[in-house]
Amino acid sequence: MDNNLKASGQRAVQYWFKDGLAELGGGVMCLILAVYFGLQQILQSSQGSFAIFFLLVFVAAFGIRKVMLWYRERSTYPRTGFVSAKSGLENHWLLGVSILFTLLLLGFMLYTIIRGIQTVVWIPVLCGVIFAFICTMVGYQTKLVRFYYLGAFCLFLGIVLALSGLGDFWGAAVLSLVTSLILFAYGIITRWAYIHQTKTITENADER
Amino acid sequence: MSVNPQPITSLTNVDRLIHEPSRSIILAILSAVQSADFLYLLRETGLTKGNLTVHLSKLEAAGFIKIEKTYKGKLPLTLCSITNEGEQAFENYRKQLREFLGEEHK
Repeated sequence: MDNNLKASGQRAVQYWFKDGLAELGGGVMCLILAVYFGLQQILQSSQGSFAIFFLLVFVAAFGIRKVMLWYRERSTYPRTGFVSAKSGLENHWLLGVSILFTLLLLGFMLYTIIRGIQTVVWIPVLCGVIFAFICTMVGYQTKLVRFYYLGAFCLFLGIVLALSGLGDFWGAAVLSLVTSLILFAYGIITRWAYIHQTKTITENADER
Repeated sequence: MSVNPQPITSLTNVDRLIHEPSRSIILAILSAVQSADFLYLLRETGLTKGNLTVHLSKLEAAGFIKIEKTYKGKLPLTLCSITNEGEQAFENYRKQLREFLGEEHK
């Protein structure tokens, strides 16, 4: 019985990924990254454009989240209800690992800047590690195995692209594009299943 | 041969308000999230609107959950969230249940 109670709670945690919109939003985000890396390669932008990179990422993430929530209010909540997930700050282990990972990543970037390394080292692997980390954290929290698979694949692809000699930005662009396509596929399948398994509840005449 | 009566009594001491299956499911859901609305709980528990309302009222009266009527955009929502007291009571309930079942499986 205790396991059943746990499963009920787990389903509520997974609710954010039940309608496929989160994956579709993630797919759009990765697509924007792919376009950005592609443009970096084509236009041969300076290192200073990294500031634009961060700005672009934050604006895009914020915008996509807004659009996703707007659509969710109109499509998901009337069908299957509203659930607000916990912030994740309650899980100290998860928070600690996230902070440590971010510090390591920033430290690595700072090191490359201080040492005056002109070319950014192994961007595809770095992106692969970041994608894998995000997927693993999502998988750990939601217990959805498909995110572990995606994380492992991103890491593997990042290493392969780095070794392929495709170039830093092309490699990162391909990695982002492939990840976005996988997320779109996840999102479309999940969305299709969600739409077909649920319908908007209409009140019966005696319940009005 | 002596038998430790503790596991059996641990079950008789459980909070009867939580021990009702529908209410324990409601608390299990609410303990995993920040808040959930009436429609979500309705679908997850499989109860009728009337039944769910009664169970939620009982849990609210005991101080285990908080019910708030609000809007998400133009959508009216009846949001339910578990209180600290409710979280503690539900954790105790699960602990007692585990103790009982753990002994039973030996």
